[in-house]
Order: sequence, then C-alpha cells, then structure tokens
Amino acid sequence: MEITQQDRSARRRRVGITSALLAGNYAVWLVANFCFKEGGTNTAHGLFYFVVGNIFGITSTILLMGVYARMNINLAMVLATSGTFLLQQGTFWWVYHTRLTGLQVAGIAMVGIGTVLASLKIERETPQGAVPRETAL
Amino acid sequence: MNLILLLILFWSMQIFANVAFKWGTDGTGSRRRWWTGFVVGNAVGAPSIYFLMKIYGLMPANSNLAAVLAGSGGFIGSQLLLARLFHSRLTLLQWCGIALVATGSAVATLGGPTATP
Repeated sequence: MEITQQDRSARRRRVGITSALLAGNYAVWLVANFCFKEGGTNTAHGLFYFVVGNIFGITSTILLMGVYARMNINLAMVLATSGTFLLQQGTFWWVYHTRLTGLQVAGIAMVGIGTVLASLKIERETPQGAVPRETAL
Repeated sequence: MNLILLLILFWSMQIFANVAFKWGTDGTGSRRRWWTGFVVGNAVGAPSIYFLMKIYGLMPANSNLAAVLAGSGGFIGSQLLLARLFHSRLTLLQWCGIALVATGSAVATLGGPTATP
C-alpha cells in the first residue's frame, strides 16, 4: 500500500503529540516523586508533600491516558515506566548526590537499552499483512 | 497481614488501574468512557499506595527488595494482561526489550548500597 504525503504528515503530527504527552508525563511524575521523597525525609511536612505529590501523581495519569490512547499499550507502558525511572535516577543522583554502585549503573544501562529495543519499529509480516501502525510510536 | 497477601493486593490494584486507564482511552473516544476509566483507575490505583507502605513496613531492613517485589509484579502482570486484553502484537525483539527493562530495574534497585552487607 502506498504511503501518501498526507499519511506522513499525519503520522509526524501524531508522533509529536505523543512525544509531548510522554515528556509532560515524565516531568509531572518527577515532581510527584520529589514530593514523596521530601515527604519521607522531612516528616514535619510529610502530609503537605503527600497531598501535593498525589495531586501531581493524579495529573500525570491524564497525560498517561493520552499516551495510552495513541500507542500500543505495552510500548506505552514500558516507555512511561522506564522513562520516569531513568529520569528519576539521574535527577536524584544530581540533586541529592546519591552514590550509585556499579551494579546500579549496570541496571540503569539495561533499562536504557531495553527501552531502545522495545521502541524499535520493526514491521512484522503476518497473514493479514504488516503489523498495525500503532505498534510503534 | 502477611507479605504474600499484601503483594497480591498491591499487584491486583495496580494491574486493575492500568487496565482501567487503557479501557478509558480505547474505542469510541467518548468523554464519559474516558472519565470512567480515569476515576476508576485513580480510585483503585491511589489507595494501593497504602499497601505498598505496608509492604515497606514489613521489610524495614530491605526496602530495595520490597520495591523490586512490588514494582516488578505490577509491571509484568500489567504487561501480560494488557497484551492479552488489547491484542497487542509486538515483535520478539520488543518483548526482549520489555524484559530487559524489568530486569534492569530489579538490578538497579537491588544493587543499591542498602542491599549490600
């Protein structure tokens, strides 16, 4: 089947919106995690951070649902989970000067490689034709 | 409450919340369906944190292992159930990537300083 210019621009637009939703989800979820971390260590303001963290956490589900609507569900979940994991590890390491062991660095690298592998767009031929487009971002 | 029961409760609630979020965005695109998925997903997902805190409470000496047990069960369970319910068609390489993400998260969490003697 021939792919028209209109198909390409529609796909580019969809990828752009999905990427923006994913990035927004990462940012909002990161703020929620900072609140939970601060609430755990700063017990005097624990309730405040718990409530604020949950407000950001619930907001992130709005963005997550936007991603779920536009992508294969397994890929959407792995990108959302691994992206926030990598971003959180990196940011906590930078902000709180956390010392990472060699094993932790290896684990983080595995998550990064796994995310790239899961995101690869490889069309698999089936009796009905190629896999649906939603398989890849 | 024992650890196994708490883990099963937490995993079930996390998996249910993810299914609700996806269900809300699937199909007709109706606003009512989206709100139902959003409210039900958060109503089940948010209280699951209570059980996560109980799991941490039962394993005070090894919070890293608690995090891996809780996180990986919910992640793998959600992946399998969502693939089945929504007829996901990924390549073997993509499934290997998902497995690598789950393993890498476990290695990164267990490899922390508190897990070493």
